[in-house]
Amino acid sequence: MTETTPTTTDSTATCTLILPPTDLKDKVLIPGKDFGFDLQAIKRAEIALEELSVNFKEWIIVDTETLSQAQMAAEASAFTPESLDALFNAAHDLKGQACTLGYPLAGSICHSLCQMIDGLPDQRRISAILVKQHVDAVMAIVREEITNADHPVARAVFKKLREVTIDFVVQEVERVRADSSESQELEPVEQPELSATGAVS
Amino acid sequence: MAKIDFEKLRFVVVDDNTHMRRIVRTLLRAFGSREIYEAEDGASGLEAVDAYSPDILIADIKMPIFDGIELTQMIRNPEGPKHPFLPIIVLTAYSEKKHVIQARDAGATEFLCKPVSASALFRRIQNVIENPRPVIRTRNFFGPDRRRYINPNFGGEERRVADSSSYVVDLNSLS
Repeated sequence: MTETTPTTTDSTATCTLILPPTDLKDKVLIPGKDFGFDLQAIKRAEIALEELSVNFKEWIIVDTETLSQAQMAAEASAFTPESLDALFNAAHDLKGQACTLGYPLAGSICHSLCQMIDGLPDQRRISAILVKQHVDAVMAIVREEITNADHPVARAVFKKLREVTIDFVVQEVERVRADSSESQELEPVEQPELSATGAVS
Repeated sequence: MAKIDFEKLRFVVVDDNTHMRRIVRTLLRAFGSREIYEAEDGASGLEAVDAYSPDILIADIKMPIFDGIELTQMIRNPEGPKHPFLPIIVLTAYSEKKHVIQARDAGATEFLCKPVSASALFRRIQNVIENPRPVIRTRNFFGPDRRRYINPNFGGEERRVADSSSYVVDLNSLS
């Protein structure tokens, strides 16, 4: 695509509509009767992905190990923001690719874990047990090679985890709301002043 | 049927996960592309865009150093970069509406949720090539038109037709 600096000819206009260069279209589109879907290209890609899938078991093991280590590190550090961020990243990565790697329920459980971390108003109050249950469930699914999204036991575990997680997050949100409305009803409390050294005077 | 000559397309793929980069690269190669450059964070992604001048950028959101939203904003900054019209396909495990809106408002061209499939990726690529949207420039936004269709029930201020003849700038007609 041409590297062109965007221009506007009216500095008073609140909005300028720019028709961008069409050179990409000119460069790569092979004209035909009408636009459509190149099914052969997609088929080739699906076959290539199928060939790549011999690596998927190894990859998901690596990713679940990363998740497990992140969970242990987070728990050991009492869920500091940095450790929770690392845990979220590991779960988020798995959520995005577990389905492609053939473990859809592992991805769904990671989605639930991400929602818990992301949805809590105060992440310091995260449930260590619930986090561990999510990670253990993912590890079990990979260990038992449960690739079927309808596997009855794995599905039941996922549904229960999700149910408990939603309840937990909702309770935490309500608790913060209740605390917030209570504090608004009380007389304002004078804030302690910090000395130059940071000590409370 | 019009076909895309993938051999002429140059991609930069930015994702912090090695496996996901390998999956995307495999799909692009199978489509026919031979020029695929990779980066594992927003900063090296920006460097790769500058170094290789890709035709299409595929970027994750959640990444170290700076994320895919910040990367998109930097590329769309009309004051600085050389690639303000670069089509950007955001490929992410975020599926919540707030992230779609965030990516759209940063100037992303297309949004694709993981897990990625061959057909979904192909559709997004096809769309940015066949149907490039006009670019909108306002005081606080530069990027592809965020309106994908005309809402007949729109009741707000119509800012796009009231100004002047200079409202539309066709870069294809500029010498």
